[in-house]
Amino acid sequence: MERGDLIRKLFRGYYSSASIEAPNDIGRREFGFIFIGQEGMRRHMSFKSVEDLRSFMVREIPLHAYFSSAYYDFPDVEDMDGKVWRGADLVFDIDADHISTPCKSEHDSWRCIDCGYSSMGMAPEECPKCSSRRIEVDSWLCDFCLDKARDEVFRLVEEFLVSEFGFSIGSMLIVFSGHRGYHVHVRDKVAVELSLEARREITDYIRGVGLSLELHGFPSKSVKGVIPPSLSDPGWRGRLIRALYGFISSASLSDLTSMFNERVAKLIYDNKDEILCSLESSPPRWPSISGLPNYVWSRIASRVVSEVAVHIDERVTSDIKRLMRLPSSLHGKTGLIAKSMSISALNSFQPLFDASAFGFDDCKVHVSHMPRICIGGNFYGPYRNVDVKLPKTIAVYLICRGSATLLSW
Amino acid sequence: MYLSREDLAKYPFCREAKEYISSLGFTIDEVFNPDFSVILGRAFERIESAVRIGRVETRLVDLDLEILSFNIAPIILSIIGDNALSMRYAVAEAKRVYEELRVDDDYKLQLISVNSFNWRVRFLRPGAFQIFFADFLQFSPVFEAFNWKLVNRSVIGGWVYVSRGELARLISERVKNEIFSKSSQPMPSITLPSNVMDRIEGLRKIFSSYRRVVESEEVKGPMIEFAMPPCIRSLMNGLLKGESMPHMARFTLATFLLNAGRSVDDVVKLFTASADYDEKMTRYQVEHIAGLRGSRTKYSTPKCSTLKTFGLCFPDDFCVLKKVKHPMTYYKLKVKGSGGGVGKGGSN
Repeated sequence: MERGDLIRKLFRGYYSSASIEAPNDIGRREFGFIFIGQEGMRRHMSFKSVEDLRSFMVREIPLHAYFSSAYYDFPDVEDMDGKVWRGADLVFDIDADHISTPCKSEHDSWRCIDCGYSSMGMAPEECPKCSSRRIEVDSWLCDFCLDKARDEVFRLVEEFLVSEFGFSIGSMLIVFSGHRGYHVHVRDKVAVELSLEARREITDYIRGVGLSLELHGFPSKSVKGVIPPSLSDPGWRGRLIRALYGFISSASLSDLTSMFNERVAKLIYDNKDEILCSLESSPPRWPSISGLPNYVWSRIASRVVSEVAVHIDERVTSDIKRLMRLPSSLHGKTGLIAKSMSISALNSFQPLFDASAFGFDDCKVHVSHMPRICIGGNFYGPYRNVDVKLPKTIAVYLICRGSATLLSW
Repeated sequence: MYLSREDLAKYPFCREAKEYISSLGFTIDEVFNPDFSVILGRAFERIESAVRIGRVETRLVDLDLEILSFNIAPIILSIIGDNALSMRYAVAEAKRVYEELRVDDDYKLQLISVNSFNWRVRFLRPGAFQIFFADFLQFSPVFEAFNWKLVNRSVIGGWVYVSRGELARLISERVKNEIFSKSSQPMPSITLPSNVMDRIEGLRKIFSSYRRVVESEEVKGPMIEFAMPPCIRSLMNGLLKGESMPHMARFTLATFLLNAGRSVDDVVKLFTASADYDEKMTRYQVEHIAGLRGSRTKYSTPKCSTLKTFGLCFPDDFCVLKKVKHPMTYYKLKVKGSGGGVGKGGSN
């Protein structure tokens, strides 16, 4: 059987009995679908009810299903202005592709489309050889990467959205994307009415973009005598100083020499206790250690920003007309269900098991290529051009990504 | 705590002032009635002062006159229908409001924010407030300074700390927007008395002579004309002819000029020649490209291959000879060849 026909058959099996989740206010949302063997996306569609949506999905068997974060008066009008935008959920996309994990060098690889240069590990923004930005990524499902993404979701929701922005947990929906990350949808009235510009500012806030350390109490060559942040300060002030504190308390001498000359590194290392003490003191003060220039604190802080910021995809959050994956639909690249949940369920969520549509009975496939990956607590691979027995959910994943063909179900 | 009638004269945009006006039973048709010529006169005066010196003075002699004239000025501006003039007036009034509020009582800022704009604002201590982040973000993104970026503010439970001066700035920006949008609303056609027509004509003249001064100023900067690559030269010609240009063309031209050392003002001025020139929009976009707004990224000029994709590449012999891959490289190579120096911001 052709791969496309097989996937369609498998997906039909799922959709014939699946319960489809409709987004709130379904009639005002635009829907878009990608179908097997068809170019592009069929979009500008709308449905009056979840029954209409479900019967469409059962009949047409999409490979990917999306709905708009936006609410429109006329969601099915093709001209974007003609749709009449009335607001949009505030959405976040956290994808393991954007988070650096050590295991990536074992299972992920990338290739520059222009010069052909390739390497294992996390894809760079541009090719180090020819500076091209056209990079092809080969990434894999991985427990460790997904755990890391989940940690980021918790930080995004608890630290940023609830504590700092004051959104309520009840207004949020967490969705496992069905692939390498999670989406967070905030649906309260304040969020829905935010402008494009406001969303860009929120995006920058969460990513720590445009941070001015001086404005957060860090001394610089030009600004001295500022009041240092306290470890218990809210927002970025506290986050930065806590990250600095954490870095210093665990830094080895070689960590420090990678950032400073030997003399400065040694001064910091030898005076760790005094530095930590003065940051803990109330009111806090910047440590005064003779011979230590005061720009060191800013330099350390700028290095740790990326560890305490959340790696959301800025294009998703700052887009007020984004199409998001429909919860309860299958992800065409993995065959896993895009699963929605509350934040309290996220802790115990197990992507492979909770989002499985095809179960774990064995089936036989021919695998052309697969690195060693750990998913659902088990290691699989590496495989290259071999026939293997695999749990159906794993087999469908490989078939969907074009790395395997089915031998027997 | 409430706003006095003197406060309404200082802040005639507030809800209480509007309620006061409607309690007087005023309609648009009456504005041009000879009985109201004093009010109309003060409204014209406000606009003229904005055009001439960029400021409007608060006069607390005849309070009703202040309240009414402020609200009539946008009607005059919408009859004139010149966005640049409306913006100049809106900016001048906003400045006036800012300067008044900056030194006024805290409770007035809070009353105005809450009652007139539905902003959620809490008084914290003298000179310090908290404003709900969504209300803060209505206008903060247009301010350039780094301390207006949300990431540089203290945000707790949805509340953002602001000083009195900052709250005054947010209020005045909102006032500016309101005046501008009212001034650009199309007017129902009404027959105007000839003295009003004359006054409007006079205002148009003053403004156009003022505008000519701005436009005739030469674009300064260290730009070396002959070193301009052919793609940029062609875009420049199109612009000067007043052709309407697609987004990518404008973006390319703006990024090139900014990276070649021209200032935001220079680039904005250049775009005044564009067919669909809108100063506010142009300035906003150019500032964004220059990295003064939004994500603070200074944008690079697209490379030759991208320009090719968009049909904006017209290579000359120099491009071919030097195998130029980027318009900025062309410029730098030519400048270097001539022995001239590239101005500030010349790297790309």
